[in-house]
Amino acid sequence: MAEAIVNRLKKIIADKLDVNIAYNDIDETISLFEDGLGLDSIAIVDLIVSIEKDFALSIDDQELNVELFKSLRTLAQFIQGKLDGSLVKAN
Amino acid sequence: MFRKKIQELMQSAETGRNIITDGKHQCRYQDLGEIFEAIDSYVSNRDVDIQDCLVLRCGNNLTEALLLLWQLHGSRDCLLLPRALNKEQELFEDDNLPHFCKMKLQVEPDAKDLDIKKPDTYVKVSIHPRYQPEAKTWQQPGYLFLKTSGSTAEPKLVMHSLEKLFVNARECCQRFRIRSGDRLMIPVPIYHMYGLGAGFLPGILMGASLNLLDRTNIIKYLDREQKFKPTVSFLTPTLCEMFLQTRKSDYKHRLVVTAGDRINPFTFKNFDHRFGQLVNLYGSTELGAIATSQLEQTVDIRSDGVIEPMPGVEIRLAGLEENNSSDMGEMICRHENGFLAYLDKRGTKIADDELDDGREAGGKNWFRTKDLGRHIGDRQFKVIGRTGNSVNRSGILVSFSEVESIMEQQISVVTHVVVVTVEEENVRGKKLLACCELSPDKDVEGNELRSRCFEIMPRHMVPDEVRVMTEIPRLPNGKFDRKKLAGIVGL
Repeated sequence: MAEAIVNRLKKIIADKLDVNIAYNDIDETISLFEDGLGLDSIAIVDLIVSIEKDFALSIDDQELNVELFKSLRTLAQFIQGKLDGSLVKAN
Repeated sequence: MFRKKIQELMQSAETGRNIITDGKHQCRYQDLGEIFEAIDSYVSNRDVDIQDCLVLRCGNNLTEALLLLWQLHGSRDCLLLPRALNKEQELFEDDNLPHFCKMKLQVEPDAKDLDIKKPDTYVKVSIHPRYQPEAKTWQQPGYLFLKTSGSTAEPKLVMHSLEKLFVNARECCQRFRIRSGDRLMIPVPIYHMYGLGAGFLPGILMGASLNLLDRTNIIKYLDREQKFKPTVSFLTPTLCEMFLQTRKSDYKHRLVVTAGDRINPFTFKNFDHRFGQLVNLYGSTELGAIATSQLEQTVDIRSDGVIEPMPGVEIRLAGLEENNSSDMGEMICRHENGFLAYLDKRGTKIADDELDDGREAGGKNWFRTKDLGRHIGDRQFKVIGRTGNSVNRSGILVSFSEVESIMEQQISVVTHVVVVTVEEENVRGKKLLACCELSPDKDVEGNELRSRCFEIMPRHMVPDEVRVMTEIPRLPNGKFDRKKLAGIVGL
């Protein structure tokens, strides 16, 4: 499941963000910031907005922290947790 | 004056324990004396004299900020530059440093085992190979040199006297009512006049707690905000937009300062309502803060872009006399504490009559801003936009000629480039369209050229579209006809 989320995130980055990074060039283990994938401040905002839209979830200010963007894997785990949480709530 | 002020702040019970931090490291005002002594001793063992001008490449890290403060505290001459984009750029720029600079301070802000009180753990001193003692044409040290963006011409060095710089910073303290109890968030670069003259130095002069953010993004900002609880923040219009786009909860600052492009009134009011009182600052590398919103103004007036000159600043509008049908003119300013002179990249003073952007056009000591303005009442103004070929994107001025020259120099198939702006805007600012002519027999798509731009220029300069043209229209004198081009590309 988390693997599928990682792939969806890669697709968002390659297709929806104006960053000039190809899907196959995205390493899910490196940071999303300048010391890794190199997403700049505007691309990061676009990514957050796209995630919220694509996964139909809302990320609070308190949840947005540097740790979360350590890699696509950590981000995918967070999204997985959010989705599981909303499933539990719905049940 | 600055030295005395720092001594007071270090010894004061009120400010001594206030902190300066970059999120990774921090120091207290009371530690500054010990740190400065350690740097003094470190550099004096490396043949650095009080008279020498030092180059400091600076980001928003504590190490670099402390080295800058140490230079200001010692009234040393300092050339402040941004950190280079990569090693190649640094080598190229180092080759073109002004000849009056004797040494470079090379800082490693992420050095392992970094100890703020031990400068040998984060700074190295190296000699500038092209240093020429006779290139320094002034006797007493006490000057800061900043580089212009090169938005309207060749980049130049701007010479400021430290004393005048501190007077300006003090005016900003008063205008923004900065107090020692304030907690200032500074995510804008302190090597630019905005971050330095309106944020960093005023904060230091008041002994306020400062939080420096290097290479800011919204995630880093929120992370830091939760821990630091800022009362005052210095943002750009782009950062303000990002706050509104991503943040679910409000956070009330006492004051938020923004500089650069105007924010549309709806966004301005929305931001003001959710994140605290927002004020505009209008300034330049040469004059520092020129005019700002007044804190007493209503949000309607502030969001309309009405600004009032800082003390000691005179503004007049050029061209009004000749053209009575318009109430707009180029804003021309005089600032009693503004810059002293322009120097070329070798460090030689440029005479007024050689200046291509001609201060003489406004008369002696009048500075052409190349911005259009309008009078509002007796004392106030509104800035309407740039008069020349440049735009503000992501809070940074982008000159068309700079983008053009990078593309022409670094993309071998491209022979000529003309950049025009499209009225439409995106989050970075006005959209840029680069029109290119290619070498004969070369066939490259615009998208491919744009991909290359990502590798050769900072992100804010990358055009939003690159279009390949068989022939860019020219004027009879051979210059490119931008007006005709705008018609052809359908602007």
